[in-house]
Amino acid sequence: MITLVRWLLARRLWQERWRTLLTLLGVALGVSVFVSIRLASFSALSSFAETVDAVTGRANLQVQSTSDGFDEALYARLVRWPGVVAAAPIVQVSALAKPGGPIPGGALEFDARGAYTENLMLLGLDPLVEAPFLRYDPATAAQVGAKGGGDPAASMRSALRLLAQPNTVAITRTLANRLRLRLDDTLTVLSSGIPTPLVIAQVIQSEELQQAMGGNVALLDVATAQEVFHRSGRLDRVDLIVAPQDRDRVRRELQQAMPVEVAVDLPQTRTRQVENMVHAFELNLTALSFIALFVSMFLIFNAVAMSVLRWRREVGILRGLGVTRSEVTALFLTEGIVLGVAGSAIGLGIGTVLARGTLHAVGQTLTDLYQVQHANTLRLDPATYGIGFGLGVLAAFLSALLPAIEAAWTPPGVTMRQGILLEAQRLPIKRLTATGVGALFLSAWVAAWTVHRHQPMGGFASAFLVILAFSLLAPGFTLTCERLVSGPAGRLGGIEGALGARYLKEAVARTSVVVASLMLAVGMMVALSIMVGSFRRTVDTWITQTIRGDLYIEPVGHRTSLGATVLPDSLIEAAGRLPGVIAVDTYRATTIRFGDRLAFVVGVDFDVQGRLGKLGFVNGADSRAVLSGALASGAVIVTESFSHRHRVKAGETIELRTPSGPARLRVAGVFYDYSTDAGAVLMDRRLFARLWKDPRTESLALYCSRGADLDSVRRAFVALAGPRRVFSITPNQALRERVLTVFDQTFRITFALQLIAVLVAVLGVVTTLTALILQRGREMGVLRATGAMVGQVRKMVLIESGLLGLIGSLLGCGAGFALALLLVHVINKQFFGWSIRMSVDPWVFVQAVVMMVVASVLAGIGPARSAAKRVAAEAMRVDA
Amino acid sequence: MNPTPAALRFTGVSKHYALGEGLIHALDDLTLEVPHGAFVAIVGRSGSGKSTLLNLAAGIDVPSSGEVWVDGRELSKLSDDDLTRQRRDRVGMIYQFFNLLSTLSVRENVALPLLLRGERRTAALARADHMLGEVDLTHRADSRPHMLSGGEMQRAAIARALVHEPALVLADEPTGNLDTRAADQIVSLLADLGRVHGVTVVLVTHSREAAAAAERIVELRDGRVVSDERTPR
Repeated sequence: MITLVRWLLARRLWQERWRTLLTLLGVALGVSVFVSIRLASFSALSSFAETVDAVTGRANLQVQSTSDGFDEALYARLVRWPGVVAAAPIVQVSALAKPGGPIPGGALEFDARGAYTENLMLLGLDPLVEAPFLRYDPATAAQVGAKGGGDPAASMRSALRLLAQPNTVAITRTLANRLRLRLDDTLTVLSSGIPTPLVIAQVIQSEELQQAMGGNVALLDVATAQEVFHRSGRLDRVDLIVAPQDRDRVRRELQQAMPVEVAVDLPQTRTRQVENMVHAFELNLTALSFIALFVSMFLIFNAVAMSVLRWRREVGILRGLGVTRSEVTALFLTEGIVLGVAGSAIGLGIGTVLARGTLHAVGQTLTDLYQVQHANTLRLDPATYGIGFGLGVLAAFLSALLPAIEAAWTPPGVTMRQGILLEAQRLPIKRLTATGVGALFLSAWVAAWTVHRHQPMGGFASAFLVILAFSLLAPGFTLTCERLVSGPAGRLGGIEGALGARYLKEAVARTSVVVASLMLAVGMMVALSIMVGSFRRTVDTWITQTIRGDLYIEPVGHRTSLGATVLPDSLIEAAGRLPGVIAVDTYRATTIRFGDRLAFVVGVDFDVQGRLGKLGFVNGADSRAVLSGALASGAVIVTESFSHRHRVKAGETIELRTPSGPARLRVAGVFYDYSTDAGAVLMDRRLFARLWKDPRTESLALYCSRGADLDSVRRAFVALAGPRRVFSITPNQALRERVLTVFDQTFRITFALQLIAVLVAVLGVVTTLTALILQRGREMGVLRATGAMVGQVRKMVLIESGLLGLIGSLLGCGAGFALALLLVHVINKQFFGWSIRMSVDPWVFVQAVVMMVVASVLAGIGPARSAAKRVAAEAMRVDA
Repeated sequence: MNPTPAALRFTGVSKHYALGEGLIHALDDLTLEVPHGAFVAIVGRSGSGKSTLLNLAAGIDVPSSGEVWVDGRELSKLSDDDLTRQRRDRVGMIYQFFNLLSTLSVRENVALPLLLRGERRTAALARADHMLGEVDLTHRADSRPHMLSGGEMQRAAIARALVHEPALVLADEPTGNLDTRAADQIVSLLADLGRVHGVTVVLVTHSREAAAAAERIVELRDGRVVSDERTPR
């Protein structure tokens, strides 16, 4: 059998090496998309997890705020707590930084960073209590080379300098090398928009922190961190080392004794919460990546089916010579598996290369939507490679199974039959069509069940059924189209058109596979275009409705430092008095735990929002009425995602853990929001200040009188803020545009996936047409011998491939519309909780059809040339 | 300039094929002339050069040396398009394995040469129907080739070869895949139609019985003519 495989399979694959190569490329692309997506999200999340691990050190219990820090007095209690072996206070802030000293402040564009390009994690800690935690040992941290080498005394001296000298910092060797910083150089960080110079007192050589945030870590004394980042008297966390046998007990006791806004967690909890938060996003990307893999399954199916067709006579001869059915099956299955193994192996390589680009896009989205800070370093995950390879091979095996069985069960008599040029394989069209229609109904039922039962995965099952249904409808649809187009094709394209169209029908078993793979690619393209287009229009309407302020102001670095950003009250009050300003809305946000998930709590001015803003409420409630009612009664409003995720409706009460204790708050309304799917609770700033004991402001929006000169207001604000602070001041229109830009960035990766799926499908057209032409060599020869000119044969093949593209894309438009309905009304709703108003742009269909017909015609050029080259002499030769 | 008016003329034609490092001499300095309206059978063993002779006559292969004249035109001087036109307009071909296109009905197969040269569909189909009548296949006009018997398929192939009124019909073992009775019918049909339409027929065959229907039998051996006899009428 091995000899048989070597003789027949290897030689055949080599003989048709171009077709083999194209099939391999298709499979490789399918696998590579899956691998790149998985590697990118794995890298982003494992970078986050590694950072958490590195900054956790040996701590096995963490006492941390569920929102925005807690009173440092708790630390003294924790140190003395029975069973606690060691405790370390931590202030942890992310900030933008630049090497060198500060530069003058001013106003930048929205999201611009100016010279502050480094994303730095700053850990404020007490160097003297750090040793047991093994993340920073003052005696060895600064030693060069292996542990034990160097001068412990010098290391200790530089560590003490951190303690004794204000505004000093220790940075990792990795960061120092990259930014070419040395001891006593300056590193400037942005704190609430104010450039704050820090002197480098130590370069950390020990390995523990080099991995966190790709080495972008700086250590400060906890007091310095509190001062620089306006957190006087507050800590973000206290890390504890507890004897393992005491851990559960200590955790229980502490949980009871600590204030309600403080949680006592295992170190891995934070990573798990973040994984939960981004789960829907990750799953959606993975599901999308499967589409390319599906398309490559069609490709392998086609490749093996074509081999079966082309080598039919050989199969007959082999069967005549005594090769068993199972051996014939094994032969063709081996072909599929060989293609799968080789294609998957290549796919792993391509996937790794693609992942570098994907990582940036995925990482950006994680930061934009979920505020997950991470380093953009690619991690190679063996499990991803294993799964990618396994899926590729499994897909190849499953795709090859049917044609392999078909080859083995075809009676030798048929394979040896001579006299006609094409074997017209009959398909049970009616049965396939009926099953397809059944699958469509089943899909609709699953979708309804998914919505009713809130079972997100049901959406994918429903989408799979849609794809299955349309694949089953492909043969019937191809025949129907052939009936419709054969007349016009003959009239417009002459005999070449008639012959090209006729072949679609005669070889429907083969052509419908191409039609199905094109359907899948076009279906995905159309579905994503409709979904993204609808989503974009919904977001556009939403921002036009809700972004009513004239100037949006935030300190540069706010999006990195988040809650550590504070604007002085005096500045906000003075801004309200600027000529032309009629109102100021303020913004303060924090992260909370609600149920088992993370969510955001935001404090804004309900009075200003009610009067001047216009939030869109679910069920069409009036924004002004809801907000004034909520303001009067101390109620909150929640985003649609929050409502969906936690099953909370307007009129119900939710309980939040706040620094003032548990607060039961009535939900006055549910409003549309598309900024994050993590869910948010919005309350009036005064309520937020009371519950969180935090009256501060992170950013603000200025509402100006009609006709006010915004540029003057902008200049006046900059003057008011003083020369030091760096602000981004964004006019209304620019902010709207920026939101849409972020939106487009988020979906860029989706379009890249779409492109690859289309590419794989077009490769399918090329390989199939090439194989069909090879297989129809005698037919081409007869045509040439009968007097068909080279141009006529080319024209016939091009018409055939164009018609394949047309039929595949028309079916794809139907499938795409059905998938779009699922994406918009089922999958998005269940995963993200967003209501998207579906709007269908007819151009999406026109573009898809035109693009696929053109792509198919282009794909047909190679096969058409090869067909025309068939010398007529072939027709004169007998089969033997 | 064609030295003599003939439907087909080979002058000192040789055809060599490279096989490994050696050469196969399919035709070796062959000279042959077939006048207009003649029915000539070419016989010989396998490898004697019969099919090569036919391919050269059809212009789908080129000689290594010598000249091939068809209907007054020397083929080596024609471009590929001209050769195709020559085949389409002046030559009809019949094969052992019929080579009908399964995607087309019998009528459409027969009309194909006319459609390929751009004739109107209705006219082409009407002419095909006429030809099918001549080969007694009117009742099978709408059938697909795979529904026909071997003899019927070959009759359809003959109709296709004659539908565009060629000057020369080249038939390559047309009875090789048929039983004796069907083979007899096909050869008779070919001879009759050739006579009726005034077409030159060159029949390549293994079969002495089939060759006997021709008015002249040329025997090839190792690419050379070893005998050229008129059959008794």
